[in-house]
Amino acid sequence: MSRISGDGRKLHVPKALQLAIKRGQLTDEQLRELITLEAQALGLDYEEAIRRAKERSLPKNYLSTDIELLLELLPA
Amino acid sequence: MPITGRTLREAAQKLCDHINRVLSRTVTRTRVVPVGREGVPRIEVTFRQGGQPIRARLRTRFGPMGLYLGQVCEWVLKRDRLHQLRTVKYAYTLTPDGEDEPLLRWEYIRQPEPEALWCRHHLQGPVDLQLNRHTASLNDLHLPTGYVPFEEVLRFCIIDLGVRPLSRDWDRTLRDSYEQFKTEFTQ
Repeated sequence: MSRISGDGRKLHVPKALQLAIKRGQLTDEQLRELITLEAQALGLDYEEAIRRAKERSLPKNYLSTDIELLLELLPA
Repeated sequence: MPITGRTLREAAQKLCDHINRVLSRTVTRTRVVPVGREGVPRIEVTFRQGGQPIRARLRTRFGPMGLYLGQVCEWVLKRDRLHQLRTVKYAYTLTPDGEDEPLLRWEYIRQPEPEALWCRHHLQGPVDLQLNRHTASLNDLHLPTGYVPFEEVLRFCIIDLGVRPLSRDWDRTLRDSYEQFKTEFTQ
């Protein structure tokens, strides 16, 4: 049996961004917004999160892992 | 035959539907969703709810654990309207209840930074290893694994961690899915 994990890190994802995620396609701005939200939950800003994701020095948890994956969608 | 879709979005949804079908017959009904960026032939596939990434909570013989599955896939246009999947990066993690850091992280990155010479397919975690008189953390090593299909992580959850499978044909589901991935997707 399984259920959704509580996790304790509730992000407040705006409705418009949720809808874009539901559609499966984000604009550059929306992708940046999503990464920013996840970074903020780690106590980081966007630039710091991206820098540390590239260095693989983010704290080791699932939000960091998600940022590292989303990084692959950004322009090189 | 490669996975096909008239659009990238359609192909991505097809991939997610496949993964969700496998998940729902094995360890969790938590669903993965695709996230892409306009104009980029890549998608991220991961558990997500209300826009935020989540972990699926599993009941194991060792207590509750959080499962995170994430992949970034690239779509290569093979012929007209045919897109073939290629894995760019994956991360599968298992985290004991109440912990922040995963105990086990299976990771792959197709193109790491040029100076990164470690094994691209590896296993890490905060596990101390006794190496003669030295203690090293598995986090500081890149234990080679070869390509790890997500089906094998689900199998590990059922067989080794004791997660109760959600269907009687879980083994066949995993075998068929693995075969399908080998023939329909590239790694």
